[in-house]
Amino acid sequence: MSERKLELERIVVVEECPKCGVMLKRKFSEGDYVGMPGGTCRFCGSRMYVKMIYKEHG
Amino acid sequence: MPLGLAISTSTYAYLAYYLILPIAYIALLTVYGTKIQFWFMMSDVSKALLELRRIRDKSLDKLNHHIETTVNDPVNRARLLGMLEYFAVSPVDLDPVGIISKLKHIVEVHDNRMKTEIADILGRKDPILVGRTLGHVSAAAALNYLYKLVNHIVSLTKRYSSLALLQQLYAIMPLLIKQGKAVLEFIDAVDKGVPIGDGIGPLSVGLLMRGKPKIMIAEDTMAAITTIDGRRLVLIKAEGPASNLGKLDDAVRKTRLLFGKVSAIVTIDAMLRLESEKSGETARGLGVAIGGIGVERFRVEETATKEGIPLYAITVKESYMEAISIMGRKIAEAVVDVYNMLHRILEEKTEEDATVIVVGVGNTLGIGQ
Ligand SMILES: [Zn+2]
Repeated sequence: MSERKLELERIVVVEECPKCGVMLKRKFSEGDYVGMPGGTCRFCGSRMYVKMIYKEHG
Repeated sequence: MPLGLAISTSTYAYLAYYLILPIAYIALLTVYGTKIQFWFMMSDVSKALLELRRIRDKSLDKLNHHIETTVNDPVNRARLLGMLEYFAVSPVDLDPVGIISKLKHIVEVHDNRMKTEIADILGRKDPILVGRTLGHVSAAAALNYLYKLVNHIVSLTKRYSSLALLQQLYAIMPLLIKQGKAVLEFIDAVDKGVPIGDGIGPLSVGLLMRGKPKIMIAEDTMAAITTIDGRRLVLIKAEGPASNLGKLDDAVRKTRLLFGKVSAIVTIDAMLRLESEKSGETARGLGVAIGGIGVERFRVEETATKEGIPLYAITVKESYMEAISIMGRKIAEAVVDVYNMLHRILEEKTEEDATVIVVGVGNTLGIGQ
């Protein structure tokens, strides 16, 4: 189980704001997929979206 | 007298060292050399076979764990395990006329049967869960078959003491183990619903589709329209984020019927890289970049040839291992280069107001639209 948790922590989700182009990296959690709506942008308040999901080292 | 004895002893020793021993040595190696080589190679191959079995067992453990968490009924659990032995027989190719449609039919029937059977066992039609289960089953089945096949050859090699067979096995064994490990990583990706390297095509197209109205243009396949550089783009990819490949050939044919004149078809796909090439490098070329057994590529080529539509391809280089395991950073970031190439193709090869089909080829696991 802890191996699985470690694995998950290697995976990064990149969210982008469609309006101002700000990008934000966070850890992957199950259920995330590319294109899904993300959090709100800290700069302009618009809804961000998941642009990429990848493993950091590889 | 003691002196003479000493001389004769050293003469024998001389003979033994420089004549008899080398002759015995050469004779031994001539007769038993291949035997010795056989033993050494066999011990290595046997170790590798054990490794393959370990990999296979790991995939079965993961499958069992998945079954325990998703299927309650023991009869259905057994049914799911029974699917490891499902197979499809390829059509007769003695008379190759029309073999593509036969092949397409068999592949479709096989895929549909797997999916409906799994949905039935799960008691749910949720495409993400069905895709995940199918991924588990097909990966475990592939590893199980790989192990059984190699085990079969090792047994034959032992029975007939065939060095020729053993040498071939010895040469490819490291490659087989590498592939086996890659399949294990694929199971991990499927379990978590994370994009794999092969998903770079759907990723590129899926991001362009975001926020656009979409239609299901063929089974498990989505299409959307957007405008880039004054050209009308019909974007096509498999339906995500479940593990799907889509029916890209059917989608292209239907798009052609729906939109009339098409000025170009651009396919975006992952491509196996050579050892000297870097992962995530992009390349531009002509033709249809769709892998697999060739049915989809054939049918897109056929449509294009009939209508005289130019075919362009954009590929992202990656290894087989990278293609079926969790997408790496370099591959994901190649999406920027892919867009640059797409812009260049649109500008150089098509007129303004043209209609262009852009297909994102690959497994769309973890990639929506
Ligand atoms: Zn913003």
